[in-house]
Amino acid sequence: MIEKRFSLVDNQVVKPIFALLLFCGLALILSIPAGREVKDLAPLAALRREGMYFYVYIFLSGILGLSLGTLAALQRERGIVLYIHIASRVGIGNAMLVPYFIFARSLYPGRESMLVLMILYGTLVSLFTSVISRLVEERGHGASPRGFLAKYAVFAVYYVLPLVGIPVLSPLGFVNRLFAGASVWRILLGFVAPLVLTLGGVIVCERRLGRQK
Amino acid sequence: MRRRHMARDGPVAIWQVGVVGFVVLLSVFLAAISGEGSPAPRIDVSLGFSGYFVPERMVPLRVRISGVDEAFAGSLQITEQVGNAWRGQARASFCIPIDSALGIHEDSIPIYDFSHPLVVSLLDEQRNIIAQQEVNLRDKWKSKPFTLLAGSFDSASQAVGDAVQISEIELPSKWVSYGGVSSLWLGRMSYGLSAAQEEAIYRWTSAGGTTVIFTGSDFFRIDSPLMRGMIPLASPHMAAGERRLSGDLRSGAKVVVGDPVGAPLVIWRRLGAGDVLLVTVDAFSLSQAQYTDLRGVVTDAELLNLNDVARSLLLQMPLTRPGFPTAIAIVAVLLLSLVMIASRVRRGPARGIMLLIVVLACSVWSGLYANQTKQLCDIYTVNTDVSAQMALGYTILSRGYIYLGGRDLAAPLVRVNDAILQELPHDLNDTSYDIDISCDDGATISMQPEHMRVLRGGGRDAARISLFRSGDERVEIDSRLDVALPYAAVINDGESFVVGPIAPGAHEYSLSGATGALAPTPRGLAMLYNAVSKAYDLSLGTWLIAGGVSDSIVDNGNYRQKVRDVKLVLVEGESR
Repeated sequence: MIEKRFSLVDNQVVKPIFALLLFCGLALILSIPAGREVKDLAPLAALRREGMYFYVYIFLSGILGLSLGTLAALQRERGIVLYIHIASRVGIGNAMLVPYFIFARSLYPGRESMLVLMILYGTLVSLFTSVISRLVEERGHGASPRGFLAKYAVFAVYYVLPLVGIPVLSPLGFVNRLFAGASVWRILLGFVAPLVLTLGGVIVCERRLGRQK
Repeated sequence: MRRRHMARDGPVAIWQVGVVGFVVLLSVFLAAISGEGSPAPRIDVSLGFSGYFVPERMVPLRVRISGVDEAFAGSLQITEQVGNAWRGQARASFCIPIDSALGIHEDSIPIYDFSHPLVVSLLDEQRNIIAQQEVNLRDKWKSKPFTLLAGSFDSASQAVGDAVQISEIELPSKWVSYGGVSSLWLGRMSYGLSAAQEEAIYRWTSAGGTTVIFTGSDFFRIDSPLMRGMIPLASPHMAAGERRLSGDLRSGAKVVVGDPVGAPLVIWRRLGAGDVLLVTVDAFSLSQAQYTDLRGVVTDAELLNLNDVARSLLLQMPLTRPGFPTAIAIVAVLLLSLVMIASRVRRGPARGIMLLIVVLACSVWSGLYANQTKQLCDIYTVNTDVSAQMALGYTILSRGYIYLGGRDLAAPLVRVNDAILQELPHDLNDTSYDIDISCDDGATISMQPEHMRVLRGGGRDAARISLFRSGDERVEIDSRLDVALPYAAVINDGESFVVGPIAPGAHEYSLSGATGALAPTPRGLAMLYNAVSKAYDLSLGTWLIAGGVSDSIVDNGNYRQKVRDVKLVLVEGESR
């Protein structure tokens, strides 16, 4: 068996990162108020006001994680190598967005701490969804139709279901609260959710993938 | 034995009860006496002109404080509920600092509505309420400005129509308080006018008010240098055996009503943006028909209102924001670099290093571009000020705010040293129109995204500039301002001369080459000048028109505010 050498930015990784960069870039451009004068302030101004860029970013962070998890399943990565590879790919994806976040400072002046928290949270969400994706795709050894449906079902449940009860547990609800200026406890609760879920995912991953070794 | 003891105990108990009762009665008596010596704190509030006022105008407020030390320090808190369940509701509150309980405290407050009583509270230094009075506003409100008769008038004055008559001592000493008056008629004075009242009348008239002055044999009751400077007659005097005031007509003055023998009865002149009508006889010498004639020539006051200018300027303010080209370029460079590196660079570590270099370069580019000058502002503000300096100075101001931030905000936006009135729409349901003016003159306004607020007011402060005609073609301008005024023109008998920037200090300027007044100027200043030039008659005498536009950004942590100050100074010249 030929062991494939790990590449931080291989051709498979480029696609999800490209999608992340493209759609976040579009969201950033659309967040810039269009008018030259106060009276020209178009209805699109609401996109910036409501923080559309951050919703797009957090949504695509989850999608990025799903793609990276599938890639890891295709490459049959497991053990510590799996986590190092996932973390480094998620890291490179988010690092590519740093120029956008610096630019976003001009759209949300005085809210630098929110930008930093947002990028940390997005990274956590990506890690969680990649671990889940790796777990789900294990049965079909990557990119199976059932695996596809299952991982997107988990993704939808994670993003939508908490909105009904405890919104801050949903990534979209967390963005909303962070953007509106939530209390420290709510922010902590929001961070704890993906952190605990990721650790839980890692433990389950270790048990199931370890058994199949 | 036992019974004897009981019998002896009985009278003793009655005696003790009697002593206790006496002590209680004595204490009650002493308390009553001491209570009479220092009565409870109390305030007596009077509002408007004998109670009459016009909603959504500035109104005089008088408060007499009793039952506290003369050295009392505290404040008056005035609270007003505006609107109803259908119209929507808002709350307005104002604080007036009090540093002594002596005399009557007079101020000018905005009244927005008449449906709820006004609550006036006296607060001590710890902001505890120690006295309170509710003022019913339902009975004496008027839907439009009214004629105010001050002093005594003949019964024929009933021909004036819907007028409110007061004693001259009730006349306010702040010019903005006359906001609900359409014309002020000064009749026979029993007590005369105080200097503060005269100054208030002068300022209000020159800001667009209309004052009718009855003179004749009563002229001596109002005669003062300020009133002499106000009336249309120079060197006023009573000819021997006449009951009519005579004198030389000032430039621009004209006789608008004559008496049956052809002598001047009513003489008019323009004073700043307002009108002065001098009746050459006293208030008891006019017939009903003459009162009717007089009413026909009296125009209603129209105070210079800069709200429309402020609103237009606010909507025309340039947005501070990052540009699209740079954003698109950053996105494009990142995407292209990713594709190029992935397709061209074969070795894994080299790809990583090259991507890192691209990200670093784009981050630096982004950081250098998205600096302070490109950052969005939450609030855009326009401050328009017209500072007029004639015999007395005053300021007319308007403030416009629009909030483009994301969250509801209650921010101390306005720093006002002057009376301020918020413009309210009929429907108050769409947002909160609460306003709170604190004792340190800061106004806090509740704002929601994309809502605009316009406030207006006036004060006594004027630009410290003097203009002297030092020759046919020369003027001296003495500016005691700290900054230069970049745009300035002198209008001499209707001809305009651009004199350029006015530096602080006294400088001579030559008047040569007549041009359009104040041209070329920034759009904001030109709009303000157009509004002012319509109200003031600048064709007579010598006037200095100067001004400037300045932008600044205030970042107070909670919000970023872009402020545009548009100032216009109007100074009437004096001869040397």
